[in-house]
Amino acid sequence: MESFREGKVPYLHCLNCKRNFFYPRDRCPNCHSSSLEVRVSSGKGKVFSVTEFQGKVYAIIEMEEGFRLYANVLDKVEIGEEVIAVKGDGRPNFKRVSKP
Amino acid sequence: MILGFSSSIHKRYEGSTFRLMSDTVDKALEMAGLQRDNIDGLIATFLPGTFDGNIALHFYTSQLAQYLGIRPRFLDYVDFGGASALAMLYRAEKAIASGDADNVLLIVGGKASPVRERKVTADSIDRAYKGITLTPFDEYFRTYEDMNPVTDYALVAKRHSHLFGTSDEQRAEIAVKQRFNASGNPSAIYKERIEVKDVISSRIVSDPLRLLEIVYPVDGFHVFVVGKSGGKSNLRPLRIKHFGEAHWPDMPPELPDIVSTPAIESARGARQMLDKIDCFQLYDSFTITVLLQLEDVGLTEKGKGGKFAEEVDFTYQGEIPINTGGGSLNVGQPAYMSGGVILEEALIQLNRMGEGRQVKDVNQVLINGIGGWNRAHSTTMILGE
Repeated sequence: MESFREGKVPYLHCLNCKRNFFYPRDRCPNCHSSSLEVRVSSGKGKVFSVTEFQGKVYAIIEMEEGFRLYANVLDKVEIGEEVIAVKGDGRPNFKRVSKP
Repeated sequence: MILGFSSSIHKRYEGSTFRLMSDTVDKALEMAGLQRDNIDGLIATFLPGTFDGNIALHFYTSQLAQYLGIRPRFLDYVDFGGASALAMLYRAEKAIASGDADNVLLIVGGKASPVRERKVTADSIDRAYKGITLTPFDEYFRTYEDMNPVTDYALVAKRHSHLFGTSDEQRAEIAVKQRFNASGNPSAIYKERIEVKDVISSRIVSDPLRLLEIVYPVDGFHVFVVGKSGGKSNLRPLRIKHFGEAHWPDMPPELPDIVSTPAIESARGARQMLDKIDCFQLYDSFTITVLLQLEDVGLTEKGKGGKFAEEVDFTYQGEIPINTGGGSLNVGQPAYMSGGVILEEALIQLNRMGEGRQVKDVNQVLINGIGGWNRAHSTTMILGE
């Protein structure tokens, strides 16, 4: 999972029930199968919920592949806004996808 | 049967945590009419950092028994955070009924000040001390910056508003009504009446949660003595008329949504008894915690908690009294766990000891505890004769 430190978001895909999940476990949290595969997300997601404290933005992001994770976001964002993973200092950060 | 109870709450207690705990035990034993020699059971809970700043106490319950000079034949440890106190009471009653013990001490609390002074909370304690993991996958789970549990409950409040249109003013009503109740409670640390505009104009700590919506962690203990018979105790012979417990270990990003708590499950068996309840004590780490339980316990539908907070008079004089002593929002939260605060207030109401905030004719109280990082545990109890 070196890709994580490079700003990418890896995740696990269950070959049995097809569920995608993020926090690494050796069994699928849905069907408990150990038939799993590591994949890398497109990095695209939407803000599921967000809060701002002391000038920092902390959110739950729902990724395009259907799993969610906690993340820090570099911009002020609202629920539903599109964000994308970018390289951070050890794990990805997220930033707003600028509207054309 | 609960024979005695007591609490000791300080914003900052200078002495040792053991001493504070021991003094609280003596007060509870006095009410129960028992001596330390009569105690043969002990159940306790612990959060890292809250016992003289130690992140762990090796064989915790044994250390407590050692200090107190008691030799239990029944010992248990419950780690459900704010849901622990009710689970401990249930377990004590079971131990007594089965003959495993005659008189059991329940000990909840510790000192929050050493953790508070390090600018963390018990749920972000890994940011201040090494050697603590919060999840089995912290490397991927922990972000650069958060302020849990405040930031997490802020995410919940934000999403609740997004889904159901809940307003900041509706949440503020909870703080206002609980403060009204606190004004009649001599042991509350915040007693001055407030209005919605005071809550709204208080500092935003983590958007949308404001300072007056957040509990203040304090140093203190709640101790309960549970025994087989009334003996010398003057308390009402209360029994547990319903108990439910539910645990959702999934972290919030993996829940179907974050606006529900396991109280939906722990309160399942209590829901048909709600119209016979004289007052409610709902876990109140934040205003949003109370709002979620209004829905999850079944006082209103999911999404209608804001409307309930706005329209229903839930002061101690009102139609549905809730958190009649002001809750931990006004009493303070000992060692980052409010379970003792809500259980104590239930006992005060049931025993007509409510002085300036006594609800008339209290015979049955519903208490709901929420705990663990991010609402992982819920315990629901109905107490009555």
